[in-house]
Amino acid sequence: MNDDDSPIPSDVLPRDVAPPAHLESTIRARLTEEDLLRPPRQQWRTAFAAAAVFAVGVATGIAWRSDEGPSQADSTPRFLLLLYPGTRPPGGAPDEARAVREYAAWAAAERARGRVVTGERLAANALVVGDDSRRSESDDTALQGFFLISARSADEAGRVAAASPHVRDGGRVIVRPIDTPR
Amino acid sequence: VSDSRDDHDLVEGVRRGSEAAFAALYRRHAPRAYAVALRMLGWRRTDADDVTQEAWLRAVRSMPGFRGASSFPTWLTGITIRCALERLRVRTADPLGDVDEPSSAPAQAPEVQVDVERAIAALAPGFRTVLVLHDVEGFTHAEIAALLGIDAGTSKSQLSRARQKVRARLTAPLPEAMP
Repeated sequence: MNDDDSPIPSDVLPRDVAPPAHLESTIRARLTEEDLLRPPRQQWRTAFAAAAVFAVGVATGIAWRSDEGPSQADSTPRFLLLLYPGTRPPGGAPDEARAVREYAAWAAAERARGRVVTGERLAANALVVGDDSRRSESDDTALQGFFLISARSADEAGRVAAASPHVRDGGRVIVRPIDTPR
Repeated sequence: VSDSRDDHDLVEGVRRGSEAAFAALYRRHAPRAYAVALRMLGWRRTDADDVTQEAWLRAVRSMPGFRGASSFPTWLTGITIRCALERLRVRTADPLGDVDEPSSAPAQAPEVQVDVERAIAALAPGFRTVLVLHDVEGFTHAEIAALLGIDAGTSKSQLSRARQKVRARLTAPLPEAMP
């Protein structure tokens, strides 16, 4: 009885037992479903999906405003923000997913203020139609995307552009007023 | 292929959503967590699978709050134990819970290991939990008391009785005593 309270011979028990092979993929699938893991090959797809969500969000904003009747966007000047690459060379590999998140957050904030009307990213190819003898080929594909915004003045539109992630990431934005017939 | 990055780097990778970092971390630490779950649950493999899965899901969800005060495997073991205790409570509340899946102590293992595993698996859940945590996992009575919500004296007496039962089983002329 004296010996009864000594530890059981646990040193014969292995510290590790291999879990069934399927368990890892089951757990990984759940985590991917919850967007906690992203397979490398799907990162681009995720980025595009986020961009699509952003575009849908913008479109939803427009629809919502049109349901509300005449809106601030109808009565205030509008400006096109044209997004071009800057002179600063891109540093390292671009983090597409992060960029999309930043653009989406910026656009959502501006939309909440009633400024962003729409926006799209442009693909990197261009079909040139008509006389382009005075232009270089690089000009045609330089435009990376655009936002259509409403702002009370060109200065305000400039401030919106300056605060955009595109400028923060070293890009260049050209602000062009929409010429509305009076 | 093993990943040479340390746990800290892999945890960072998982936080950023890296599937490769998760795979490396999982392969490094899942066998340990699985062994804990299996023993606490009396080698009921379906329960151990569920508990291991739940523990990893909780761990990855909680990673933003993991500050590295303890090592990753210690942290994961703690989560696994809590998940196993929850499962045991559900089983205790269900009168049929303890008979719907037979225990399955390892078939391909040295005889002495099989005997000890079976003797532990045959214990009632309360005894088994204390014995596994103390004698196999090396927890103190104070730690066990905190985990189980009992006092340290109860943990000691449960351990003493659990050891007696295991020893009796190991010395008994069994052989058909599989739980």
